[in-house]
Amino acid sequence: MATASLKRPDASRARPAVPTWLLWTVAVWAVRLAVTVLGILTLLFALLHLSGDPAAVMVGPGGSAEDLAKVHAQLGLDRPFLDQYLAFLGDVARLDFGDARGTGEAALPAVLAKLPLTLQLVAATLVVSVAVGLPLGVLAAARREGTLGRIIAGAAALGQAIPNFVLGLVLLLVFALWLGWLPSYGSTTPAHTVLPVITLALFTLARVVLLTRAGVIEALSQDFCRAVVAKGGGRSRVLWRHALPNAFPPVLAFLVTDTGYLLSGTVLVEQLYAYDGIGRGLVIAINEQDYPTVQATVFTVAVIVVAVSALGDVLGRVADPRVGRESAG
Amino acid sequence: MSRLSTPARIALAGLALLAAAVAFGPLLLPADPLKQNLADGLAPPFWMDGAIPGHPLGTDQLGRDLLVRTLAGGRTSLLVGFVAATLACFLGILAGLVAGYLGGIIDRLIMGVGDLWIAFPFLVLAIAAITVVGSSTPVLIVLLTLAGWVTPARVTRALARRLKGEDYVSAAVGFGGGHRYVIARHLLPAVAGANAVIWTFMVGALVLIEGGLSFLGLGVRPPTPSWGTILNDGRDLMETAWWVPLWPGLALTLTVLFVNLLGDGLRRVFDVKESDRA
Amino acid sequence: MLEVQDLSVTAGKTVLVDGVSFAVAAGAMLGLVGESGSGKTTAVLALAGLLQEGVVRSAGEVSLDGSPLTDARLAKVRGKDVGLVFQDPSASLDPLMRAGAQVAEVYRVHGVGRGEARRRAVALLAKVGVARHRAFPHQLSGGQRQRVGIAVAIALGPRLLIADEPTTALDVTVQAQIMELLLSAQKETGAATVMVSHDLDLVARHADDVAVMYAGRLVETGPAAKISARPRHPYTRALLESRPRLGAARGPLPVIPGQAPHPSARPSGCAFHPRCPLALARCATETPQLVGGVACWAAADE
Repeated sequence: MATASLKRPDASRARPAVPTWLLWTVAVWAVRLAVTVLGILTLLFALLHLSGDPAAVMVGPGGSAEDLAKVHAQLGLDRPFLDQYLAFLGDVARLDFGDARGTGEAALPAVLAKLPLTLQLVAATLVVSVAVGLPLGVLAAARREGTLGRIIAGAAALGQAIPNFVLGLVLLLVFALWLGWLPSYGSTTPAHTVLPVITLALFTLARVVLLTRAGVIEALSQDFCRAVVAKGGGRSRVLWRHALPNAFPPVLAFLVTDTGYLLSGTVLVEQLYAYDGIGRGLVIAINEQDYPTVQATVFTVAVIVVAVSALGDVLGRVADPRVGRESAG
Repeated sequence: MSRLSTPARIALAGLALLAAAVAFGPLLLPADPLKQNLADGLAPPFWMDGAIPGHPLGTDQLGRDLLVRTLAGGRTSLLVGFVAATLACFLGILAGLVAGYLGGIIDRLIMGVGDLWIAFPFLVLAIAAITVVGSSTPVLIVLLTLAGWVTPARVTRALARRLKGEDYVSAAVGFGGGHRYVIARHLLPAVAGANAVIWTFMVGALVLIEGGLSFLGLGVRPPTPSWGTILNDGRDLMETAWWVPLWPGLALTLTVLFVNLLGDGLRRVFDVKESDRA
Repeated sequence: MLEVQDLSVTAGKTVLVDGVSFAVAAGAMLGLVGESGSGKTTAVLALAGLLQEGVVRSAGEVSLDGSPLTDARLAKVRGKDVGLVFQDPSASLDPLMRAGAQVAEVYRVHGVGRGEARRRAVALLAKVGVARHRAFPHQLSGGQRQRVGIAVAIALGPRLLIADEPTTALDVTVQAQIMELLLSAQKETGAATVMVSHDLDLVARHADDVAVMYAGRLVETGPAAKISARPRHPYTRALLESRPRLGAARGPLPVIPGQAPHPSARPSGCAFHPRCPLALARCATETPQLVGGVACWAAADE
């Protein structure tokens, strides 16, 4: 340290181990997580308890009178509402969402076991949307007067309109049933992910293409792109190193909010392709009147949404340094 | 409306045609969407071998005519979407006015709930709610209304806040006009344009959500047909009678396409920027 | 040395720049002055080959250091032999790129290795007065951003330096500093400099020669000292007189009545005649040519 302080006198000044803004950000996100999760679960709790007999819902159809009475006691439905709610909060804090109907195992671990498959699907969708969508968007912007540009933009507009479950049925029909190139149902092999990913990704991909195209066109009209040409840079450099990075922040913002759509979409897609993720699990659960699993799924999804939002925030700052802290004038 | 672009006009015409078809089609056509005739089951559309005259689009597994069934399904889907979107806009505008005009903690509360609401995947929430209360058309409409209130609320609130500070609003209040007058004469016309665009897109979005829920078997109760339920029926028939899900799928896609085009056109007419939607 | 002969720029049928000729010696500065719409910016963009879609150089020859400055040559020497300083530094810098990187880019484009480009960029930025080379444009003040812009323009020692209203977007207090920087850069590189401005006063103080443009044509040219002492064209005179001056007599500022014409609605004959206090009959029908540094029928008679 002594040698260091000879060269850089201010290095000897003590610096906090973790910068304060980071701590603050983490704290804010922790609060958001708590509020989101609790908010949604409280809503569900209220719905459950205010609309008819919660025990009946928990037990499901075909439950005997004894089952009902047992659950009634278990849930403590005779106690005051506030007591019940506090007990519920305690359960949530311990991550205890009850036992799944049918298997009798704890609900949350069962849901979490299926989570990786769903995450694979969503992650693959995002990767495809960005890896294919950004270049196509740039291309569509660069050649916007020409045929290729118009075809891409038109195809993207169409792609935004096709409902994902309709697309899924079409792809299933053509590629799995008629052509036999890809498997139709299940989630065991990597080939099983191809159709589900395409189905889930089309809307997002189309939107990324259109947003990128718009962003690039906007950036190209600005002086700084002309300034790059003045430096001697070629068209390629202007497009890929200047226009695209400037077009990217809104695309990123869209992708973060799109996660909600993707998680909804995965329910439909998984159901269609019998892909064994938490979406399909949710549909099975509702068909079996398995409320604990439904609740556990809602909890898991809420956590994912907040996590993605937080991640998106961090990435957003990297993508656009203008967001946030410093600014001189 | 005169400034509407050509694609938007085509879309409007297409939607009008669709609406007319689903409204009057089932009345004019002889077949009954619910009538089963197992002997005629799984007849293909008119251009294929084995087609039965009188059933140009084919029949499903229970012998129900697909043309009429698709039109009847359209009635349900479009009506649900239409009604829910309208209710959602009402609710949203109300919430936005309250939040924007009153400000303070009420504003924060409403917008906070809205932010939370819109981030969460709606289908998951809907399924959870249906687990508790069961599914039926009224439940569906309520759910869809709740799905859509946030965007009109946000836009209305932004405009309400902006106008609250405007001089002519203070002047109007000063003249003894009262807040109700201000809202009616100034705010509502100002938000009308943006909300018209939002409403248009929302009809499409809600028709899709209804379709999705019905596809999962969680939407309207059978035997009422909707595009989603027909698609669901058709799912198992993909290998043998692929034309069953074809018609509702086509109808849904066209509806969304038209709605998007019309919405874009309206956006240009009312000069609503993409960012204003959020 | 820059030589421009009969430069004309059109956008479809509209003439934006009409037969402009001037020359700038190496190390000298020419101030190109005019109102908005006079074609001054268009003219210099044409020199750099940076005209937008639909706008073309329809006539004229431009040569730099003896050889013609064709589009082909420009594609190679832009950034190296030809440097451009843009008007609004908030818009001409990439918002997502650090200052040092933007300067380094000039070196990189012209074949310099990454490490060396970085070193030279940091050194150059320090020289023009920007120490924070890792800053993003939004973290810098307007004056600092324009310093970065100037650094970019002079990085490779251009032979032709074009400055398009370099101080217009800046605070008055900062303008002087930037002008100083520009002048010292010019002296050091020995570039022929064309500075575009709407401020005749500013130009008269700093430039060696002045060329005044109106509605796409040159109306007066000459050494800066001579023009500010004895302006001959009515437009030039009016420009000088309408500038507020400390210590001048009170009373309303002289204003040039009317407005500068839109390029597509150019008056016949001398474009200035509808607003000119000395207009003669022939001014409405015959376009005066640039003779002895001034293009005016009234001045020719003096």
